Amino acid sequence: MGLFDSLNISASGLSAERLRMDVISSNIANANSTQTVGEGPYRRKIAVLAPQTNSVSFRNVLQDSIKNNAPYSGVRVLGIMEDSTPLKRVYDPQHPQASADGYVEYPNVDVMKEMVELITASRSYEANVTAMNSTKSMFLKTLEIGRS
Amino acid sequence: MDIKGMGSLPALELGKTFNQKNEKVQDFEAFLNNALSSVNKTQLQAEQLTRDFAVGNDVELHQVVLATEKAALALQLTIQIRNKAIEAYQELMRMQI
Amino acid sequence: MSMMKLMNLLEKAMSGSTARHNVISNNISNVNTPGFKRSDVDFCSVLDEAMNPQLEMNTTSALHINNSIKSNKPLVIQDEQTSLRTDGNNIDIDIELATLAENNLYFNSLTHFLSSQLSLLRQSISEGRR
Repeated sequence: MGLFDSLNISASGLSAERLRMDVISSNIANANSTQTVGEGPYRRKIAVLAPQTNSVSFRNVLQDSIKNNAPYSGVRVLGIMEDSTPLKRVYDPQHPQASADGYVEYPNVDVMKEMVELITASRSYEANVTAMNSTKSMFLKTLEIGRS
Repeated sequence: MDIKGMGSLPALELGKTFNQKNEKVQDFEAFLNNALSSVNKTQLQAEQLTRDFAVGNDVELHQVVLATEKAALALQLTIQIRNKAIEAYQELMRMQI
Repeated sequence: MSMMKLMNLLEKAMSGSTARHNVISNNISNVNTPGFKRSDVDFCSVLDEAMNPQLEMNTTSALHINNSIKSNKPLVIQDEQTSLRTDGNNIDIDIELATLAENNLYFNSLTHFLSSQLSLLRQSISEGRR
């Protein structure tokens, strides 16, 4: 259905952007965590997004409607992976976690970059909200055709 | 004066005009039937689209809205025509001979 | 009846506008996916077809040429231009939002015109009385 699909697409965008903001907030909060549950300091996390295609569901095949459905339906999060850029090393022999040669490894999080990403994610979220409002207004306008 | 017999009257032609008028009446009847059935068809189509939309099939909202509006207008027009026809009939019946 | 033709045209335009809205929403939700290229919908061909329906040429043999290429579905075109971003994404969110607003206004105008056509018919049926 035409406009209902658009609502789903915008909803997927909203949840993807919210997940990205969660990841970015986690990165910022852990910008100075030199030790995690596993070994080593915190590593910057990235949310991987990919466009979502229509799944070949039984219902689609039954109704033979897959050729009418568009191949797109929003965005999905493939997963959260760790950034493999090298960690920051600071020379500080007095630190309790200094290695043998006096270097402490800090997370590879650049707070400035994370703030810019946060602003981008927040703007994208607002854009998706605008799209959803626009869809709703189109729907309501259609229902008003016969009145008055 | 030459009195002609009954046999020379053009009885066959009279029959022909009678048949022609019958055909015209039948044409109007067929026309009326066709018109009413097409109004019915628009109603059924609108009903089908509404049902499809409610169930969740691949129907756009504006198609449903337009189909129902067209069906409603078609029915309204039919009702008005019926009213006019009845009015005309009553007018005729009121005529004093 | 030309009024019916106009209403059919408006209905087809509304379908095309809905399809375009879906595609723009998809562009907006994918503004941060790497490698995604924006797409748009071109439904002018569908409207041209509705305005001037092409006559189909009758064929009695498989060797005859017929113009059966009917463009009844709106075309989804993909814009493959190279992007300015490092992640291969070429969506400009401002352009998408502006296109969304333009399409929204277009759709609203279509509903308004359809509404007025229907009210014309209704008035002529009820002779101006309620």
